[in-house]
Amino acid sequence: MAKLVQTVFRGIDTEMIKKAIVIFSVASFLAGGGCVSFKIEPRPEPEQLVETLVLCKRVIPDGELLAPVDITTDFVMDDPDVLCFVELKNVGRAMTLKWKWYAPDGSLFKETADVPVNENEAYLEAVTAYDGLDMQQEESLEGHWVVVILVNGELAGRRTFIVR
Amino acid sequence: MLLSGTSFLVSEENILIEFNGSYLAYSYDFNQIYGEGVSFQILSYDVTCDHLKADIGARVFYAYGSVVLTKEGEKLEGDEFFFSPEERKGTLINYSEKVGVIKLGPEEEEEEEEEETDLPSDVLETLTLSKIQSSLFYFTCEMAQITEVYEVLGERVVLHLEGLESVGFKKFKLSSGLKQRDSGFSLDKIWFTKSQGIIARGSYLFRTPDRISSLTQLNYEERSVLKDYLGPDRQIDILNSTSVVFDNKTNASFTGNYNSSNLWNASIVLNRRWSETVTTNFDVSYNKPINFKGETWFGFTSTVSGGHLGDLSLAGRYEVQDQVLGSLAYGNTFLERFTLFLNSTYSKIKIVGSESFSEILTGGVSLSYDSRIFNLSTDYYLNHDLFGSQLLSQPQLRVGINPFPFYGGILVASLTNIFIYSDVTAGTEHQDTYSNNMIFSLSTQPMYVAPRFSLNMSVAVEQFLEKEDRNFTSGGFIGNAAVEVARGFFLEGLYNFQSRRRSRDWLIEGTTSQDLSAVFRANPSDKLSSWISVSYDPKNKRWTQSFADISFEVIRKWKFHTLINYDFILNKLNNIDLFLVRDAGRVQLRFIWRSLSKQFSVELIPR
Repeated sequence: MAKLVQTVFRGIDTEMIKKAIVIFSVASFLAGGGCVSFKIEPRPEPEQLVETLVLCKRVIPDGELLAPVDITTDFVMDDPDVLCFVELKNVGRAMTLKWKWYAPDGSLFKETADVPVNENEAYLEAVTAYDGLDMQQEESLEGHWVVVILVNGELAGRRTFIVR
Repeated sequence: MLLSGTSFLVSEENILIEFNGSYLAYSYDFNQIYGEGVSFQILSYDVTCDHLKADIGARVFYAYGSVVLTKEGEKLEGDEFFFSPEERKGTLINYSEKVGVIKLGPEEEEEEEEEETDLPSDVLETLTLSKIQSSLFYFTCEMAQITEVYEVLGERVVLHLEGLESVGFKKFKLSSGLKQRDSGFSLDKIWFTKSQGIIARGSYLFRTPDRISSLTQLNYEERSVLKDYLGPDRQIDILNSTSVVFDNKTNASFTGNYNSSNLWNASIVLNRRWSETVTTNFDVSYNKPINFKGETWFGFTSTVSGGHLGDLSLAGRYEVQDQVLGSLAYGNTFLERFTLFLNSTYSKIKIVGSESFSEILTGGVSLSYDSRIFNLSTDYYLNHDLFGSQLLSQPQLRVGINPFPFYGGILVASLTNIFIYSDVTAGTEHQDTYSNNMIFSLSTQPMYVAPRFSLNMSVAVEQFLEKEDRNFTSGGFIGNAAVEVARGFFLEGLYNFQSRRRSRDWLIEGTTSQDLSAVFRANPSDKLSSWISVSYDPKNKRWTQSFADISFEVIRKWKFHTLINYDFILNKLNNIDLFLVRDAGRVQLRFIWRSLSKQFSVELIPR
């Protein structure tokens, strides 16, 4: 019943690093030379990781990563799978991903194991992954479903969908 | 720049909710907040969460990830928390073995539900950190406050301009705008231009809930600072627009306008709905044009929707100098395909510069029949100039065949004929005339002769005959071919031939014109949308005009757009406009160069 979770990642582009250094230098010059009226202490860097979280019918290779196809929240029983696709950005530390699928009656229908990501703690520009709900079940899956994704055990996104 | 679209409000700010966070970012473009490690208070609970998303315009607040609510030893934990600071309620959801929902109401009544269908659906999917950081203007701060009128205030704020960290502020109002404004005075704009001088705009809004809304606007232009300006040194415009709702059937409105060049007008309208089908407006207005005597009008307009009996409209206006306007109109559709329309107007208006009046009575009857195959319409129009003793009566007959497809739907043809007879009587003079106009057109649907190559043609012939023998016949042909050379790239050719022949007795004279155009279109993605056209005159064997409309994304939501027109006959560039546009959510920033006026301008336009 359970589908294997798949993850794919891409390392940072060296050209991007060069551009970032140029932009950072210009920004530093402007901020330093500009009329700063109040000195603000540096803020911690934000780390919203989930850039994209969508439901789709298929996932295809897209360069070094994966891309969702037929994005929708409306499925029929004839569809082979409901896929929950996630794209994380700027992953700089090791973490785990987990999907939880809740049936129309609110009960937990399926959950994945904790999927390790970036165990080597490299800097990854993007990570794509998905988990699927197999529609070829004996029981009817019709109704309103909920899928949540957890990063390191904490909720990082939620989507709802309907199966007709 | 930013301040030119910013209102300064004098009214008191009452804080609805306050957020503290390790990272808080507010996008001015999208009027949205994203936060991490956020804490706030609502319903007497101290709330902490990993992430916060808030769409201020849509009034949606969503906290998620390790949400903890604590109050006097009580502790609630969940994964999501939807809340409304204004309605003082929230919904806490946790995802464990079952979906658990706890609703927190105004009376702090907690009810547990396990029905999944009650889950709020709007989790602000499109509100992401990268979207906030792609804004033209966004602010990061340690603390953000939302006021009762949904203004956003920030403390220890850093402005990020096009992603670059810029100026810091101890306390700053992050959002603004008339839409969010409550009663109070607002100084909307002050600026200077070489053509208009110093310009100031302010407004005062007075509002009581569901009853009175009054907006007074002041426009001031100081031109004494301009060189070589011959007009008045300054100009003031005051405009007021007030509406009062008495009950659900009666409301009134007042509009007034005063201009320092001695022009002013005012009007009061009382609108009364007597029943679902009958409505009446009563109005009183005064208008003082420049250099002329003012006019005071009293009037009414009443409409009756009679269903299958038809619709009736009656209007009358009287001016204290004995001017009168009246109109009556009736329309009805019966037997499904017949439409009857009757109208009559009477006007007695003072002739400008004299004490005399023009007095005109007009009337019209129109009866039409529309079937699937043809349409038939007969009109009768009467104009009686009671002052000049002229009577014009003009019956018309229109017959047309509705456009019909044939030859497998590839061809579409239509035929229209209009006959007009006019009879003019002026005193003892009598004159009549008639004309007949027949138009035939035949066109094809786009025909794909190859998967990426289509043809489209149309021909039309028109013959005009009249009593005075000024007859002419004209015809035209338009051919259009289009080929998709690559995905999103099209090459189109257009040939246009027009001929007009005038015949009178034995003399036939006429002209022909031809035009050949080629258009290249490029729309491969959202980042490029352009076309270039060039026209050729085959009759005179010369190039005529070229137009170009080129638009593409330069970088980070900045779009370059240019409009170019080149005249081959005069051999010169007629016009070139250059735009650099940044779409920034609720505002658009535009840098514009126009070659005709040789003007460079910068515009910040609210959207």
